[in-house]
Amino acid sequence: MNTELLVPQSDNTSAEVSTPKVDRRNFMTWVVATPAALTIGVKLATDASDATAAETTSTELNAYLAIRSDNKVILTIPRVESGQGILTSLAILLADAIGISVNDIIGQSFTTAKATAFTTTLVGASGSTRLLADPVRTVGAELRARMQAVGGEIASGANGPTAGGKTFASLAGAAAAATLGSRAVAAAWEYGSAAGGTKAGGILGTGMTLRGNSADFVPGTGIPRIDSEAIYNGSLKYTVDTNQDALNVLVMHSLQTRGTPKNVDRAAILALTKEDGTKLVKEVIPFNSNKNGFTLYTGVGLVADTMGDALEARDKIMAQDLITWNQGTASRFSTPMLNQKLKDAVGPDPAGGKLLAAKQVKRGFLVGFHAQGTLGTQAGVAEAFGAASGPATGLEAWWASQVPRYNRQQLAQQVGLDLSPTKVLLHVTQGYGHFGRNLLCESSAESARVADAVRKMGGLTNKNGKRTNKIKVMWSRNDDLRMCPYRPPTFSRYIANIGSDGKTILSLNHKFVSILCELPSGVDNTQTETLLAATNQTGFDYFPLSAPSPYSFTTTEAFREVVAPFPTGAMRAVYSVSGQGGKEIFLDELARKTGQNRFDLRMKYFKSERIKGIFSEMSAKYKAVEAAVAAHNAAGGATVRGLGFGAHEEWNSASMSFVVSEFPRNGNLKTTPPRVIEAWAGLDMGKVTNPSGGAAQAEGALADAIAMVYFSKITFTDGAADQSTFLNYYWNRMRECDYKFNPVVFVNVNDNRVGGAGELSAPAALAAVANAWADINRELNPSLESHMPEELPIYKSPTAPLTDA
Amino acid sequence: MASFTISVNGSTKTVEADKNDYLLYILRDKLDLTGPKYGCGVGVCGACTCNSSTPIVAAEGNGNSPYAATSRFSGIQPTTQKTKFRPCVTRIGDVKTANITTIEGLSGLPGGPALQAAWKANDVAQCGFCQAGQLMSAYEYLTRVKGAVTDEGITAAMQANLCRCGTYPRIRAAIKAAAPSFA
Repeated sequence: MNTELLVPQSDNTSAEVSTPKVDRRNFMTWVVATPAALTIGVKLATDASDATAAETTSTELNAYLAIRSDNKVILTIPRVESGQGILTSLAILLADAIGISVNDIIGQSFTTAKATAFTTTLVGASGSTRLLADPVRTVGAELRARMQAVGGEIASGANGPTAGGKTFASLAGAAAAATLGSRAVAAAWEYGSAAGGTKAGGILGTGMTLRGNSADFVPGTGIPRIDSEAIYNGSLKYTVDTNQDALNVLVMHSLQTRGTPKNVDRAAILALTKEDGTKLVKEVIPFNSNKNGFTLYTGVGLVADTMGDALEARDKIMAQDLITWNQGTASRFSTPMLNQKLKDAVGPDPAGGKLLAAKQVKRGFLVGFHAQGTLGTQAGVAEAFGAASGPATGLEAWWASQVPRYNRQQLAQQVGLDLSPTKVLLHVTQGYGHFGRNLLCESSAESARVADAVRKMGGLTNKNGKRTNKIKVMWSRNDDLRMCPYRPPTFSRYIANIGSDGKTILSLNHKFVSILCELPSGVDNTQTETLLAATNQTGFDYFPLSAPSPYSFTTTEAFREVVAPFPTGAMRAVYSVSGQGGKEIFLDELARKTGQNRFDLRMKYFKSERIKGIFSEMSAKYKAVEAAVAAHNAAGGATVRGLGFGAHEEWNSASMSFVVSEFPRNGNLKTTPPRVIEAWAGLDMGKVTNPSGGAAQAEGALADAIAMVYFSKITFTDGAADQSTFLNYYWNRMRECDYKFNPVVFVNVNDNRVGGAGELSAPAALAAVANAWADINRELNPSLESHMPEELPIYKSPTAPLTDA
Repeated sequence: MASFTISVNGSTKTVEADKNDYLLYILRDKLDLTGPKYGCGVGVCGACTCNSSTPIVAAEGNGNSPYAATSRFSGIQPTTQKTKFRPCVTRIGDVKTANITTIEGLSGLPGGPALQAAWKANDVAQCGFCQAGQLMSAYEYLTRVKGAVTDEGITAAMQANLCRCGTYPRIRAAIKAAAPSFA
């Protein structure tokens, strides 16, 4: 890791970020974040291997900070904030590193004009916080050293950070010029010192003190998101809220997955009017990208003054069949046939284990398509540059990219540009809960395609009467649910070989079948791409890396992919949630079949002290809940209760979750789902920076698990999704989430590695909700051979109206 | 097109529109008020929720698939009069004299800052996309019951607001925390 000091910039009283154009000089002005007197950045050594020839001279940095003229410290990171709270976590780390209040820091995402090889999708658990922690500490330590050198003691005051009583802004120029000699800044960093020592297993319930002077930094309690005020007053800008001078474009897609436009009645569409005779559509732009084998981006852009006009035009186009479509990529596939293909692909049982085992327990679990649809629909903004008669000379785009390097390649390809830094500029905008679906940049690529088409027309007139090539694409809710990259369906078969005592688990065999993920390799990850370059990058290679077993019994895992051309996201959500979550469902089944307590069985076989530590801390609560549930059911009242349980461990993080669900004793479990009434979660995320954020992620994982287990499933008929609204693809409302939730975020003082939450909680929560269902099924139907069917019922959406009180 | 004069966040605005144009896109695309969000466009997610000073026609979305009907909104019954409404299913021709408040104007309402502070103290938001609508629904509920909140009342009042991140427990806690400011 190298630190880099950029040239001092002239100070400026304006705190506004200027809008960059595609010009390297302007880009570098933006890189220093804002008018600033000092910018310090850090560049990771791993950058060296990823740059294309055209980009090797770039000075783009992985993380950098600047002191703004209003005395705020601006932290800029190469990752998108999409609700996981990374800007807050990293601001906390930075505040601690500098020794100032977190309130003095403003976080923002990157604008990139080149490759940024600093993204991994190989693992979950909020890779952003983990991977950026050290660079952020490094720049913080560098800034602290420089400020101390030119000012003195660092403090936070009413008017922001000071050194020796002078504001950072007034000292920035001197700090930039200070010569501190060459030294390893990163090595000088010392992070954390435990207050109260360590406990066996390395877990502390609450409280630790980190080095630094920040009174606001209190690990163990957490702080609100630093961007929350902007959320609560409506000023936070997501992609679709930016660039209000752009032309609004709704891109229509085929009902069938990735069908291509066949016939577009342009004249009839342009003639569509409102009731008062006003034209609805300014222009109609069909496109179908199949360059270099990419067939992802296909649709018809409707250019209009407002999105409302475009949506109204869309309705009329559908009603009048003004666009027809060629068959989509998955037109042969319907859900029952696809499920059968997954089951068939699992193959015969392995013979070896059976020879040694006294008994085998075997189950299969089918997990269906799950839409990654966020509440905001896909959106992208792009402006194409160049004369109408010639090729594009540049592109500027705004997009909540999770993988800027990959997305820049896609954008460049859409308009025929190379990747010179001066030609393609990508602003990473605020995102909204991507679930991995912003790895592919469909709406962003569409905005580039439409912007380039408009450029070739010489521009179109926007609502302000100006000609422009700037395009703002938004998807309809229907297309967003129908076309979004799905969490693909999977089938897992688990076989446990049991010893002669009827309880000892000799081995576990897991065969995992998924449809082929479009991004199997963890796109944009330099290390893993290099590592697995020779293996043609299939999900097969990543499976053993992403789903290690936390248990000490011998586990063999095999993976097979079935080719079915559906839009899917990255593999990690599939493997961790469906694969590991499924394994935890099976472990409950295994405990029932061998007459063991599920909690004790897991404790017996856990390998790491980390996950044992969580279980030890939570055991008293778990046992008390277990006894209470048993007592409730023994009382024979009107309801039965089930206790579900799940655990997960990955990448130096671990989680456990247990839930209590309730169901009418005379109810029909085939038609009505149980209700979760209380839940607990325990998390070890390493050196936690913001427990409130971690707890929030666990809260979200539980809600997602309830939706995924009971309601939210996408099914296909002849390659077209059967669900396309938030009613037929039902997701939890307040009434399904009126449980009491008890998260506990532990501080692991034996591990200095900073963690996040992210996907960490999802597998455990999924298993806990499903296992509570199985527990109730056992209570209601004790004679069943298995209490967990191969596939849970797909419950109908709740029928109560969604209207307000 | 006709001219419509509406009051938004205390300011009078005149816009050119068809009387059937839905208010959400006028707010967002013509008045640059991007706080109200497009989440479904058919009145079932609550991301665009706004308030008005006087009850107006507040259509309730029925979630009809636009591809299954000739109109996005066939089946909507504009029979209720409410001070909380969803501009994605509210036509500008029906707004008339009401004083509209979007999330951008919440802090100017009595109790608005206290509600925002409760949201912050409970660290409610994750992605934040739904939170404008959540806050406006919560505000309407708190003013209607004058701070006398109940769990059942919160569930009923917030039922039409979807949060894809699952922040409901924190929303519930924040509403309870803000309640004394509305008593």
